[in-house]
Amino acid sequence: MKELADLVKDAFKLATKIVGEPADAEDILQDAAALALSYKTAPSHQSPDFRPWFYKVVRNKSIDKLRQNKRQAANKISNEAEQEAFNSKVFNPESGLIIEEQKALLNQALQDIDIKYREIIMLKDYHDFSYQQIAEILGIAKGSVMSRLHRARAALGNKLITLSS
Amino acid sequence: MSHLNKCEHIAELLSGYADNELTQQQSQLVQVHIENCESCKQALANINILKQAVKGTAMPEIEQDKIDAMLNDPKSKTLQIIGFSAMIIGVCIALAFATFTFMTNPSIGLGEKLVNSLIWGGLVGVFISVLRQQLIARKTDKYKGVKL
Repeated sequence: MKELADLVKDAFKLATKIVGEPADAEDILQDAAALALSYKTAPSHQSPDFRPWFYKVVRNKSIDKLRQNKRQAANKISNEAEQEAFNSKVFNPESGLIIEEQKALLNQALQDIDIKYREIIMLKDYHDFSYQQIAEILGIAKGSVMSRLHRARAALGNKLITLSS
Repeated sequence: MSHLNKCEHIAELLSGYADNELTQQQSQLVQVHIENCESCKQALANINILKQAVKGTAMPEIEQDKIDAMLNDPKSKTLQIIGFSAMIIGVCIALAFATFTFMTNPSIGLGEKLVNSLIWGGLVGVFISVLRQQLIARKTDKYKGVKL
């Protein structure tokens, strides 16, 4: 159970990055955890395949949620809240650290780029999956992972330059 | 292959190089190229900085008790409670019915009825007192919900 708890904790970050709303991410993880506990063909929790499998479930559920939310057009609120959080971080005189500003800037840039790019950067650079595992999670060919990551990093770099200028 | 073309070709490999996902041959190709190409060398450095930055970025956290709630699957808990309640109610009805038929059976003597009532009554009394103690202990347990 400890492994699953850690996994839920980690995958929550990916889900929040995709859907943008922690409350939605909690719903997603709740569903994914229930599935992991009850789904018969899920890999065993100790198997090395379990982590990518769980992320795949979380990622797919996040995309579903996003589609649902888009239909409800509730996106605006979360963007405003995020913008506010971003401003408070950047202009918080007490923190005063350049690093904090850079982190906030990076978070903003991540949020601004295409979701296709955001998720692959998260999977590789934050969650540290191999190209093979990323291919499985995203349901794409392994050969496409490198080129998509290349484009994703270029997009993130460009966004950072635009934001900081 | 002109220098420019080569840089375009290398650019895509740089991500794979930074992630340690290239074949040995591709790796060598990149290595040789960046030794002679300042712009690609810089691009690789940028990728590595970006990687580090993403890794170190603050991500939203979920509270531990929410995880616990998820993993304790509330649905199965409700089912458990319903199951136990149904069983206890069933046992109580059966006991009451048995007691009633036993006590109202004219073919059993008064002494036998008395002895049986004492034994069973005593058992039920002991059970209730233990249950009461357990419930009190549970309610006043300071360490309930504290992870040790």
